[in-house]
Amino acid sequence: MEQAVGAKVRLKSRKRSLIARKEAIAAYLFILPVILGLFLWTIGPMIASLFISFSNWQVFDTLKWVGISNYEKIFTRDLFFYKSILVTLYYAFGCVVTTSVASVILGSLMNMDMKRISFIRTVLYMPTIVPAVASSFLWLWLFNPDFGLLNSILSFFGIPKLQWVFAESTAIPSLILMHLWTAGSGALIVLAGLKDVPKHLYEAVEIDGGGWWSKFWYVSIPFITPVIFFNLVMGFIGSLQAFTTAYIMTQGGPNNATLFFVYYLYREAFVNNHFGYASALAWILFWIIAMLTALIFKSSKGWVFYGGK
Amino acid sequence: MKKAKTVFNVLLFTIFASSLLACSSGNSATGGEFGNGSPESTPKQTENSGEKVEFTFSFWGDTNEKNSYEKLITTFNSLHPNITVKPMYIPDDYGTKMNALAASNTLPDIAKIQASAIFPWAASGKFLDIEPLHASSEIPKKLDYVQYRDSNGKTIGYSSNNEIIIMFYNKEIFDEANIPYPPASAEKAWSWDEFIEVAKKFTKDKNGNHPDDPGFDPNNITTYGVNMTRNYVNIQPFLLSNGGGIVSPEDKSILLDKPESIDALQKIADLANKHYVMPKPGQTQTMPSADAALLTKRVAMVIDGQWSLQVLGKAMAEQGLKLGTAVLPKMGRPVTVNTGSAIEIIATENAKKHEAEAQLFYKFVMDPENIFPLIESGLAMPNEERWFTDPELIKKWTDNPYHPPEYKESVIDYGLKYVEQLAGFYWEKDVEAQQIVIPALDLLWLGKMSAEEVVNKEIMPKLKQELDLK
Repeated sequence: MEQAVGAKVRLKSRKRSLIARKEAIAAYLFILPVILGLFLWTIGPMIASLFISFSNWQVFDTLKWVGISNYEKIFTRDLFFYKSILVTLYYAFGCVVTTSVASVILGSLMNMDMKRISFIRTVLYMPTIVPAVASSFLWLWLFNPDFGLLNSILSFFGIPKLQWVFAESTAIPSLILMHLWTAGSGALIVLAGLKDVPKHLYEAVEIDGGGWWSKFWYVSIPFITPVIFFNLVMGFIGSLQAFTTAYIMTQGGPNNATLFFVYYLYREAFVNNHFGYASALAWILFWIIAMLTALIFKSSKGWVFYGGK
Repeated sequence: MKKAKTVFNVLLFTIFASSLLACSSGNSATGGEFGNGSPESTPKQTENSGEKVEFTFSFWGDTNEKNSYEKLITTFNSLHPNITVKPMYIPDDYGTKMNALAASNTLPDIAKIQASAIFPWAASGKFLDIEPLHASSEIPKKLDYVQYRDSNGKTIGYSSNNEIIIMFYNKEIFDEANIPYPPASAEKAWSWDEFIEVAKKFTKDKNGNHPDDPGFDPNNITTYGVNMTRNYVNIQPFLLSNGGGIVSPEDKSILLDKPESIDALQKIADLANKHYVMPKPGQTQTMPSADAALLTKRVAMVIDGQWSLQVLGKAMAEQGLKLGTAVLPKMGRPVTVNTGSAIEIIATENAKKHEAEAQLFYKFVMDPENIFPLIESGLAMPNEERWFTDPELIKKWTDNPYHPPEYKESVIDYGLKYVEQLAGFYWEKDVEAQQIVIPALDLLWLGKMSAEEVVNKEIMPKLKQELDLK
């Protein structure tokens, strides 16, 4: 009797594992294209680039192994490496901090209950969809020291004109301002986060006699820390790889004040033909971004609040 | 174990996020569309003279150049039934595409080569030697200065589209102010001080004051005497004119730190910062194009490459611009520089096997006669000496509405006798030097440092370090 039952159980569990296996195979087949793509077009080239970074390949020549001399040159004798890192970090920190703050403020504004709020949300989001090249040319005109809109506004208030991207000290701040214009996309995600905040908490604050600031600071902010965390990480990864503005607007100038790392890398590879050297630079950037991301992840335990769990 | 897992997760996340952002950042650096299309009109006649040979010829350029080259190819193909040349037009990112073709071993057989690529490629043996062809009488004598030479003095290329730097001006403005035109003859070239004097007469602020008038407001200048982009090419005629330069053609010693070079740089910077006759860097970037600036009289004189004649000549013929061409002002001796890109026969298997046929096409495409539409419209200048000396050819070149009457004296005679080469024609380190010199010169143009400080403190240490390594 037990044998029969045991056999039935075994049969059932075997059937179940058969189905499970079929489903597993189906699952793997579905994700196979993505995995293949990841290996072919991301991981494969990354490994190749690591390999190339230990050579002084010039593309039209044969590959010649040079060991770590590229890395050695970068850290000891490169004329632009440290300046470029500094400039890029300055830009990245500036962008991320200002854009995060702006996203939170804008997101909270978008959350208001008023007429035409969807129109306002659309308008605030639109700068994000302007192509990078087009907005570069647009901002170049805004930044014009003589006839640009920004200087006209300044002189209207009696403030002396600025040179914006054409002077060393104001170049990066100008580009940060330009990036701030696209805070709408982060704001949208903040808005989504705010919609999830339980309303009874706001009421609780009201009952305790708190105004809009208390609601904002003690309820909204903690609940959207995951979103802020996301924006921080994505913001850093993105702005550390800034390229188009340097390429179109400033060509790294004036006097290398906007020599973004990816632009510098591009120049080494495609103008100077030093593909090995550029690959080494690329890997250094990768590690910088990875370390920064790891730092942010680590710190997140201290301030990110995953509500509910 | 958990720590390793977190690290791994972070790395994987970074890879994902980076690749995601790399795709979606709208990076337009790889946007170039490389069309291969050309109206195929190769004749179908099969002559028994030799096997059929096929070549690819790559080039860049605007629409006019594209049409001109495609027509040239069609003509060549019909003249040589056993050779078929296919055009490969690469409008953007030419260097990147060529590198990609080199990596995949599918290079074109004959190609225009960018000035920044010619030395590394030549050193790597990528070109077939065309010097014997030029030395023979098969090709008429090219101007001496269109040759690229390596450090051993060996010629590695000839530029096909010759250009020099000259000055354009609006005759109407000069007529209105009753000031004599800039000289068309190099022997009568303005001295630097004469040049500044005239430029000041045309520079006005919004109240109509000139730079030397009391009450002149340098922050509100409406018209400028002269405009010039302060790039690496345009400063070299003046360095040479003053007795300096970038690097010596003979022994490749650095000339940039000579007092004459420093003085020349300071004089150029003073045009904008001291005499106010030229726009400052931020304003030059957003100045209207040369033809608009001259037509609207925002600028009286423009120092630019001869190629601007394509646009300015058209404005002269069609919009009534009273265009004039003149030689550059001199600081010491009258001199200008030339630019141009070489066409080379690439050492592909195909070209090596059919070198004679490849040379046929090379001769054809290097002949100014075959790119005549570009010469006529003012985009290019011939690279052959006889075009500058034979009255028949000169007439052919200039007798059209796009070339002002003084063109012969101010451009052709000037371009025959008073040209010295840019450093990039004979110095392999020129590309790397540019990346040091240009950013540092920004400090000079912005008025933050004097020329002496910029050269001695910013440029020379870096140049010495960079060059000693190679």
